[in-house]
Amino acid sequence: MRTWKAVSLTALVALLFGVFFIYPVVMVIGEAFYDKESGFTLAYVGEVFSNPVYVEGIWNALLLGITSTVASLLIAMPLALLAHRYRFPLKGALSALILVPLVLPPFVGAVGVKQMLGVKGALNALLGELGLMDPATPIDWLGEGRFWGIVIMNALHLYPILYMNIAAALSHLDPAMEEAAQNLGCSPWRRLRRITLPLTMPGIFAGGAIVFIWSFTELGVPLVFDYSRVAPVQIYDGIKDLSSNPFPYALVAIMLVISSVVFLISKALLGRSNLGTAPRPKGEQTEKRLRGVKGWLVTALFLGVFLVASLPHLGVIFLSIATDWYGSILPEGITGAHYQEALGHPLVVSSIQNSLVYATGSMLLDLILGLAIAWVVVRSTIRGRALLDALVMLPLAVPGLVLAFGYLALAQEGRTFHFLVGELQDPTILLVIAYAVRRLPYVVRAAVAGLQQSNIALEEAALSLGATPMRMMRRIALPLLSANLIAGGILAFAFAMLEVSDSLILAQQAEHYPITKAIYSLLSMLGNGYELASALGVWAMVFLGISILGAVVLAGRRGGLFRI
Amino acid sequence: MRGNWKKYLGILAPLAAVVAAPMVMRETGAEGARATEVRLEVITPHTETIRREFGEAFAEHWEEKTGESVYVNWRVPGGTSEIKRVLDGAYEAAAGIGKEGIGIDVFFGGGAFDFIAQAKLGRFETLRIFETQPELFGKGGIPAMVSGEPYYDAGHLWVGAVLSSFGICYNVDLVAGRGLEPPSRWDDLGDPGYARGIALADTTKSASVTKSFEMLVQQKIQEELAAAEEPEAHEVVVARGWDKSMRLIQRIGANSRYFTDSSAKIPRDVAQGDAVAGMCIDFYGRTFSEGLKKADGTSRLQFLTPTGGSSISVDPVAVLKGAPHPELAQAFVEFVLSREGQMLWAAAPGTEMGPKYRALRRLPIRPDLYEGETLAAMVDGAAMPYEKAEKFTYDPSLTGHLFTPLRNIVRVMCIDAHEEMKEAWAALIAADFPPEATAKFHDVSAVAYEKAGGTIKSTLKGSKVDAIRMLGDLAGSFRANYKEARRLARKGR
Repeated sequence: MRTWKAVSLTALVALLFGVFFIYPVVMVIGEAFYDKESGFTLAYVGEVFSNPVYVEGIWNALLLGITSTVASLLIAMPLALLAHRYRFPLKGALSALILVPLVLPPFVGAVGVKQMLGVKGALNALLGELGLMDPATPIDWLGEGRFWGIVIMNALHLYPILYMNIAAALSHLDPAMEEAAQNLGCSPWRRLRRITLPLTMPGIFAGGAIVFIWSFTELGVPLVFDYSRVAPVQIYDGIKDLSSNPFPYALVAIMLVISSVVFLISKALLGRSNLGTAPRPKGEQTEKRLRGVKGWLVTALFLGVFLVASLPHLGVIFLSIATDWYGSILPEGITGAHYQEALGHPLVVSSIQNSLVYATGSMLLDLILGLAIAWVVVRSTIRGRALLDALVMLPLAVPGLVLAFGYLALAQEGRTFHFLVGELQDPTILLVIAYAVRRLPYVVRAAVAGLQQSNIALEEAALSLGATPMRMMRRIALPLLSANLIAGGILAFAFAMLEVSDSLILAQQAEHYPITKAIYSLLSMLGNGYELASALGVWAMVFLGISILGAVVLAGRRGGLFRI
Repeated sequence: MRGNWKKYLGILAPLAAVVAAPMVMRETGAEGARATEVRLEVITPHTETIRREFGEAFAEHWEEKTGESVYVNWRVPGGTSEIKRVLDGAYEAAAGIGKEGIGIDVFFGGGAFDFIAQAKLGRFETLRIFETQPELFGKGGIPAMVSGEPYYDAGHLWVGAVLSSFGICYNVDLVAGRGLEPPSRWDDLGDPGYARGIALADTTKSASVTKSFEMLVQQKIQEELAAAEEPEAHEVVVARGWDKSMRLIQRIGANSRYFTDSSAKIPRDVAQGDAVAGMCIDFYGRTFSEGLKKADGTSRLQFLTPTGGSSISVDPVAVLKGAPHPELAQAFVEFVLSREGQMLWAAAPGTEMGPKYRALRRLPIRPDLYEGETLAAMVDGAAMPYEKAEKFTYDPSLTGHLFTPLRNIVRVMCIDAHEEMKEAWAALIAADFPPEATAKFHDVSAVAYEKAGGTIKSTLKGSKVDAIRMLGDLAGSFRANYKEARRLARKGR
């Protein structure tokens, strides 16, 4: 890429990112660095480190982040490799289903977990039935589980992110490389260690970075386990505190610094395949057919992971049709009344329309921006591109509330973003941008990994043969990247549909509610609010499930991401 | 693409069906956002159940009265802390461009604490209702204050719309399973039999939760004063009562699983058996209990207002400065306090006075409605809040000035040090409360009465950095105590 183009693209992206991310965030967390009397101050940051409760909170968050990432990798890597190498019964359906646990609607996801793992939950009821537990002294899974409980929940929720990225990386792998190793007498383990793993490293890193930052800053799961000594919960508690002390924002700033440092270090260590970029696969990937018991064993593994990861979802589904569900394996009775009431509620239809607009808009914006950023990061040689890469990851590490507070203040009459909402206080454009900013990392990571693996020689060849840059993009670069862009796009869309913190504050009027805020409103309804919210949550799950399967089925053929 | 249409259809058809389902099932009516010209902008933390009833009832009332149609456009940014953010940001921005208002008419719901803070900032208009209907506030009307809780603003800037109080909810099965007596007062929740089983609300995030703790403290001090021997100095007895209340709060805190800011979480967790008992807002407790009623009339979730030491606070309503529709906003306040509006809170759904869709199960603020046919129409009239409140005399001189310190003391003593506290508590229970360890656990000298009203109070008022530092130090001293108590308990001392 020519330098001036890279520079102007970088400048544009940096400007957008600066205005819509850094500016609002700095405005909010800046409070923690300002004192009325002395101006700039580091006193709050100093207090974080001198208070053992907060140091422990940061430490716990870091440990949760690392262990959750490793655990997710332990689930995703074998699955991705098996799916890459072998053909087994029901493979098509399973390799798409395995992604579905990602679609856990907010708020009710926690309720689903509790229905399953609570003291009077389904698991204890099952253990009681089987005679494995004395019903008089039930196990308090959530109360006792704590750290490892959170790690397991995180891993079961987040492994699809790694799986998708690894699968995309594997699809770029030239079978010739592996075949060559095999022909030269390399054992399967050695081949995995010396050839396959190094070549898929960009994908592992892309997914791992997201999973790490996600679980490092995860708020919901620790709250379910009532685990309060972890930084994200401490930040949340501090922000909600009546005394409006700016102290928690100092904690946010520290989390941001840690996230970027970990990202930059691991990128330096793992981010690039040390075997260089592989040439594009020339032949069709040859999958070995696993016959008989072996094949079914792999099928059982996939199915098992899917089922265990779907426990919270099952909890939500059962709750949405339950008359009452307490101390028994299955609900006491079944009713459709919650669906009737929830889907019939006047908030619902408009919230579905709104969510579709917000999520689609932000996904498109992310695809354009993400591709541009990835291009600069991978294909240009301008200085500071690594920094740009790290900066783009930060939206994952900023608590949604902080960004939302920034937008809220800036959207007021007379302030910078007011023109985006106008007199009617219509937050559509603001929300599309807010959603896009927070989901940009998924697309950037996926696109960067794809570009690193795809061979630049093909692009250069097209250009030297006289193709215009646009034509080269359309005919060469984009098709080669499509698996990665689809993976990133799916994540961006699904998480935008499930967005919570921005929209709760910014979409204040019923006519602008997204689906998540409708779920939240139903949850607070007296009496059967949890069941109603579950019913709408199931609707969201089904919708997103079909959308993801659809995207995989329709695009898989071209991208080679998931062969069905 | 050709030949693939089956694939496309296979995905688009179910997707279309999923999207169509809610459109088909949509209830008719209750629309009208776009049909009407006038929108009353109301910012509120009230739940959807309440919003829907009041929005539709006010629109009907207004149309009947004036022939004009109006739509209540609820602004819901979240809970009260988010509303505070919205108001702060909007008024700050408005001041910057020389505007008085922020395009919102009414602030409805939240706690008196939030309304007092906003009134101080000059963000409310004077309410017309105090002039048009002075009888509501005269003899037998809404009192200015009940047990230290203000019910309306002396300057007539806000007025309480409905009552609310904290009580105890408990799970009948689990209480019996642990071999405990059903709780009847706050003290009971400090019984070690409830270890890891109590669900508590968070004092740092809600003023009304702090108020409940203050009432508990108040009760302990009054008990101590009543039992005191003559020659003892008043301050000594008060300080002793304070210490006792701190130890009770420690015991309850040590039993607790968490401190939450979500009002619905506690009754839900207790109902589902994830907690044995908890501190619960009255109307949530009643609704959950009712919802779980079996055919034989029993319910596994019970709600009660503990005897003595419970405070009844209000959810107020106010008209915001520079409201775009000042007339309509004042009329909304008048409607909320009218007999019609008040009975929406309390009457059974579907009855003449009641709400359309669901019972709200809340208690009206107007004392004159607690008699005759209106009392008979109330679902929970038997609660008789004003009668109950009279039985307990609140003395503001004892704890009134310690409100903010108390909120922070609970935080450093129980919330920030919760992990160490629970471990120490478990060790104490296992060793059957050996004296030295128990004394260490219950060492509350760092937050003694004179310190709470002295250094703690003044530091909290001072610089924010100093406040944070002090809270960190206090939490540190409690953590050290708890660790030491655990060590001693394990040695059986």
